[in-house]
Amino acid sequence: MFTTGSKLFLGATALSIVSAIVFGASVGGSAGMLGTIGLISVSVVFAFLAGINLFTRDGNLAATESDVERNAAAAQAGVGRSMWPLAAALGAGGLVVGTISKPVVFKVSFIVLLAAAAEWMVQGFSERVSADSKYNEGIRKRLLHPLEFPLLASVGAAVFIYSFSRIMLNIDKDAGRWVFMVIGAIITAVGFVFAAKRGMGKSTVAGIITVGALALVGVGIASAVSGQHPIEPHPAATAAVCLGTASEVQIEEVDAKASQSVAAKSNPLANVYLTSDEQLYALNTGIGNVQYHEITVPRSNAVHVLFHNDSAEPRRLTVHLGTFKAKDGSEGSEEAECTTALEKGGTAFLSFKINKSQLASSTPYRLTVPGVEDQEIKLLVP
Amino acid sequence: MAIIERPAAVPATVGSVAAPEVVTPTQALGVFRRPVSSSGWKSWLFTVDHKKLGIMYGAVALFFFLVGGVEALLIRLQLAAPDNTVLSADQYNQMFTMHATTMVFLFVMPMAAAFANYFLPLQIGARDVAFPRINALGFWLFLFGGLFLNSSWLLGGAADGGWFMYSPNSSALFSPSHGIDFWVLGLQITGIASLIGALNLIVTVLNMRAPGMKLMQMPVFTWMVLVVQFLLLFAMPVITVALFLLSFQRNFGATFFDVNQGADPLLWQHLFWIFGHPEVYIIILPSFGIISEVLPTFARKPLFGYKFVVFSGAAIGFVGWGVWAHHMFASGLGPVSVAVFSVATMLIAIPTGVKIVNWTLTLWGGKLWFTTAMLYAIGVIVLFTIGGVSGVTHAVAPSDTQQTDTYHIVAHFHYVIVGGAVMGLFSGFYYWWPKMFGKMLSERLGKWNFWLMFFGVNLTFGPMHILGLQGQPRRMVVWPEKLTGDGFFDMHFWNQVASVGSFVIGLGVLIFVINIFWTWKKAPLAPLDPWDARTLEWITASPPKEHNFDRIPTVHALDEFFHRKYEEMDTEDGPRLVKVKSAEEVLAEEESHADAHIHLPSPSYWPIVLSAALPIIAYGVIYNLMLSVIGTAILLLAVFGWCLEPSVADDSDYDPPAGGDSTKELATLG
Amino acid sequence: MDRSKETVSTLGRMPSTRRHWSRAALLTSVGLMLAGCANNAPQDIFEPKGENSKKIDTLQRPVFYIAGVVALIVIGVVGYAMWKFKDRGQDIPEQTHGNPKLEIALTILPAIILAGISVPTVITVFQLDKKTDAECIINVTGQQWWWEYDYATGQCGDVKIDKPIVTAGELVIPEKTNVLLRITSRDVIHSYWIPALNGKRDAVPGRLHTLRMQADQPGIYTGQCTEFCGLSHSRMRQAAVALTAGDFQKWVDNQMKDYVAPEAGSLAAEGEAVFTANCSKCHQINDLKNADGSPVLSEPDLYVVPGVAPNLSHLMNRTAFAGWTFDLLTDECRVKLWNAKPADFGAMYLKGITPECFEQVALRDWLRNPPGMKPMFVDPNNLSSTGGKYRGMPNLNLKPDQIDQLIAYLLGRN
Repeated sequence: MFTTGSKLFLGATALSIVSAIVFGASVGGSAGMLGTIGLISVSVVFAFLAGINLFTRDGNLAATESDVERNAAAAQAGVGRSMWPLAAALGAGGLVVGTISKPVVFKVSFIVLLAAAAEWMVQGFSERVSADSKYNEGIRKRLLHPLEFPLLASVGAAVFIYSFSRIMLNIDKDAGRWVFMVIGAIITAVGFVFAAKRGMGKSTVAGIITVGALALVGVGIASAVSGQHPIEPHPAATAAVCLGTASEVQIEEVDAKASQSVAAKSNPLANVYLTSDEQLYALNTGIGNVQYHEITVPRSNAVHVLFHNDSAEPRRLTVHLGTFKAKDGSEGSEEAECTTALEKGGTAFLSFKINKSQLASSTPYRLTVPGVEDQEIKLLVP
Repeated sequence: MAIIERPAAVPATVGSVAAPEVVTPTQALGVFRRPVSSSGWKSWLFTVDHKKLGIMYGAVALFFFLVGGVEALLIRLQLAAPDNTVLSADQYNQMFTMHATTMVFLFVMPMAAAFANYFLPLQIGARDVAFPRINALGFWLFLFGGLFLNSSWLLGGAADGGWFMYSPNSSALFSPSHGIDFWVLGLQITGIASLIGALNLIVTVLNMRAPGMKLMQMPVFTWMVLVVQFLLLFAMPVITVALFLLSFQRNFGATFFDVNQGADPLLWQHLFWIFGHPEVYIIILPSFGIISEVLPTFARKPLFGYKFVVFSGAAIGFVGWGVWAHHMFASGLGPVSVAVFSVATMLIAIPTGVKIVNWTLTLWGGKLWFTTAMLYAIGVIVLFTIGGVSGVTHAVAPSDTQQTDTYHIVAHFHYVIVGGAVMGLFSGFYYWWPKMFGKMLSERLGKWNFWLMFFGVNLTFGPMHILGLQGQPRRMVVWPEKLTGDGFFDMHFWNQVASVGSFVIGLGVLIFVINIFWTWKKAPLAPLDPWDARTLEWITASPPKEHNFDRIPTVHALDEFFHRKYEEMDTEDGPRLVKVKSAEEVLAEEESHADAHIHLPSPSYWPIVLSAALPIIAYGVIYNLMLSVIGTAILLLAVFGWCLEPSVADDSDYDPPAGGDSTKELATLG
Repeated sequence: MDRSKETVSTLGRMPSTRRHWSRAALLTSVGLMLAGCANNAPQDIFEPKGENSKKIDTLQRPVFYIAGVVALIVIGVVGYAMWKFKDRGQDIPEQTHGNPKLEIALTILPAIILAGISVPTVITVFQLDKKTDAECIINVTGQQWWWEYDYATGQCGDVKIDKPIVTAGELVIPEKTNVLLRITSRDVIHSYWIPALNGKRDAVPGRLHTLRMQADQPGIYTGQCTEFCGLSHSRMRQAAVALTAGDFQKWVDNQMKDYVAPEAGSLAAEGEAVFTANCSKCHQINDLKNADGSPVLSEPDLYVVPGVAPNLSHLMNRTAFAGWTFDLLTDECRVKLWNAKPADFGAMYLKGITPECFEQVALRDWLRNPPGMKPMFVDPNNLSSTGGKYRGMPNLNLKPDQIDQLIAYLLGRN
């Protein structure tokens, strides 16, 4: 209802009134009196002009043309709110913070700034396409949805997956499978309910999903903050560990929480048994009942043997992979690989590959159990 | 396909005296208008019309059929004599890899897509598919993917790992040329085409059937295509994942199939065959659908046991997922898996047998008219039966360990694919040509074409049974003289027979090509209903108008068209079927009630641009990632263009008034 | 042609015409009267020569018969219908939509047939997978493009093997003995197949698969790698040779005998030097010594992708080389050996490659230019994907006199 001209004069009126009050209060004496009266006079003049402008519709149309009044650009709804100035400011601020703190803040801020600039630009452009704000909004959507939807979907999926992974990393290994099953069951159950209750309100569904998503993200953030559940460091067994020459601590590290069972995906070359009276023998795959003390191993072949410990002590199976001259001609040290130490009844795979004939090694290829004397299985590599 | 409506009232700006500027979607944002040509090359390049796309699918697939056929002839030339030297070992390996890949991915699948595209909307009484631009995208992806795949011939050699591409032989260590990279990326591109095509046709069938048409009143071809689309929908993601793994292993150092890193190469085999076995049904079911249309038409009676045929098709679709490991009986899966998959494989023979029985019983008691299409359909029954029963011999796992990877298997699947799928497609050509082009393929040349192909197939693949049982393995560039055996009928003899047979097939195909050109140039216009057909696609002009039907027909029965033409009348000899209306009369009745407003989708520039970006990205992956960046930019541009382009061209172009003269006719090709 | 009239041999001779006929009956369905398959096709899968392949044969024969009969019935019915219901101007038939009872009956019928087939199938699958009753185990390793056999020490049938035996291409087994092959691969997937003795089993790197082998009588049974394994897949062949227990003992003794150095100053002795200088990097000859008495070490793991090359200690005890593709026997001697009676076979085989039966041409060509005879991946300029290692045997650019010397030397490796 206020026209452009009248707004100007109304503003000026208000300004001059405020000025008069401030001037009057702060400047004393006759000069103060004169100035205050002058300013009040000015405000009266402005108020009068504002009234005239308002009445004459800024002087360019007849006051009775209500249609025009309704259609005037100034009468149209103002442009919508925009979050982009705020986002751009945050981005710019973050940019500064990022330069002095962490690079990741800088990068994220840069992306935010870019996105805000793009969105702001397109929004600004679309708001001027036509006078119809609904149509303008359509234009904006058509320009930006092809980018926004895939990007937002990816970000959403990433947040979802990241939250879930943080939760799974935070909780205990055994609890993990239960959490996984329970969440899966809940999602399935909710899906069933949605499918069965077709009449369910849109907002109810949206509400339930939002609550679920927020819960997930919330717990995810909490989990990320509280950190991962402890994962046992598992150093690979070195030759020293396998040959029993390493320190107690090193050996313990290798054996901590070792798996005691295997799931075989194909046949091993042989099963190696350590009996309860600490005798070592091998059963060759294919022949059920002959105890072997030497196994023939093809060269350059990945070989798997399955070790069964039936003795009371924790034992490991070690494969001695020979001693070779180094390139400079000096005598090398013996190479070895081994399983972790197994409790009674435990089984483990030992996989190894011998590339050179036994002639090339100055020590024999063989399988032994450190701690058990005089028991070995020769490996024949022609 | 968002449609943004124009603002209802356009407000004038303050003080403007001139006529207010009307902002319409067509002009908004200064984006290209949608193309409007309905004739000339532009009308083909930018079309979204399912019929034009169907024809283009068919033409390109036929081109690749010839390519794959030449590859096959070269293979047979090489094998015509022991220790032959027509091809080097490397060339031979590329040849059989590309022969299989071309025939499966670039001929049979897209040819089935051609028929599905053209006839599925017509058979269900729709004006187009549900997503016309996506339909166009599918075609262009197939074309560019196929060209990309074959460009490897000129760029250092094609893939040489066999179409099954077993790891680790497909790793960069054992196949250092770029052939397999081309293969992987080419199949990814055509895979997208299959996947979006599947979504499109499923939505079309479920949502756009003519009023009155229940699912169990759909023509069997439509049914089989629907089953195939579901198979594609679930099978393509599996091969896509497998191809990605292989691609990352070859190009970016991943170790999914690297034994030295602890991977198990059997993973690839499982992934490949979980896709590969449903693929077999993807190949064969459209052809089953075609002959289930052709046999009733020329036997003049409905398909025997329609429901059984439909359900057995669906059953094949389901059980087909549980038999993949029968390709791996010799892989060392262990006896439990082998036993289970062996029995499951026998199970799938049951629904397949049901189909054969039903087709045979459709002939029984009929009034058989032996057109070329009918001969091809009967050829399918015969040849597929042979391929089917030899399939049962390898369902028996111990027996399969003797037969697998020998020519017995080659014989089996060529009987199934050439005898089943390809012959079925040829049946479709002869049956539907007059509908597509308004001209009949020459029946005289057609008979030559059929008999040459029929004998050629038996001559080529029949002896392969013997060769395989005598122990000639597959994929061998040479077979040695000393193992041929003695006597006149030795392996040498049968190999020569097979090679001669392959050229007989080649001659048959040549006659088909000649037939197409003869028909194009010389043949007179076809009658409206040359076969006295039974289904909806014949209740319209030949070729159909751009909008398919002047009025969407209302369906009351299976074989709607037949029931409009024939009625049961009581005569002195008892009830008899009598023709009460001609096809022309049925059509005239439909046209006289033409719909007032027919809305058709407008052509679009973007499908072809978008699909052209993908090979560029793929070349980039192989040669230089900067090229991929350029390709991605084009891709993004095309996506934007796609989203921004106005939803219609110009209302007046595609909104002809009832009986109006602005309805555009398709240019005829045949 | 003459040979086909000889009496029964160890190889694919058709013992009865009944089998001919049965296969013919099946294949008429494809419109080809099988008047006669090749006689003597050594890889015919209907010619089982051992316990395991016979199990398969008993299972597959009825299946082939049933399949053939079913095909003939369907084709017959279709043919009859085509003739009977041809359009002769009859009325348009009644528009019936089927006969559910008939449909169900015709669905159940094949189900019953298949159920009948499935039971023996499953039983046979488990029987053929048994792996606890072997009397002899042999490690079989596939690589591009040949097979290696490692005989484990211990009992093999009645014969005791004291030290490992490594051979290539030709598998020697005792007859009437349950042999278990333990199959794996060093590079890509291969497949071991001796049709006369058992079905195929893939050799998959990283996995160990077992395959039962048993031969009823002495003889040579040929086979072929049947999983596509790259460039020279078609030239990766193999054979199994079955010997009587006595002959097998002799073969084992020969494999374990000490190295016989060629006479000093002979052509063969020069050959030994050429071998040590050029070939021994990859190919091992057991107990070969350098001039200073140290053993000659082959280290193929440094030069070829699979890490192994064929052991040539007893090359002249094998009948073919280079993936069992090229004959060491002249054609005449080979045919004689292949067609020998079971009773004579062992003695003939154990003679090895005698100078009069030695086919030199292929071996000489091979030494001159191996990739020229068998496509391999050995172009030195094109080995970046393998880090400089060969897949196959490269051209060593041997001079003609070196080849003469090598041939003389190798002829003594029996």
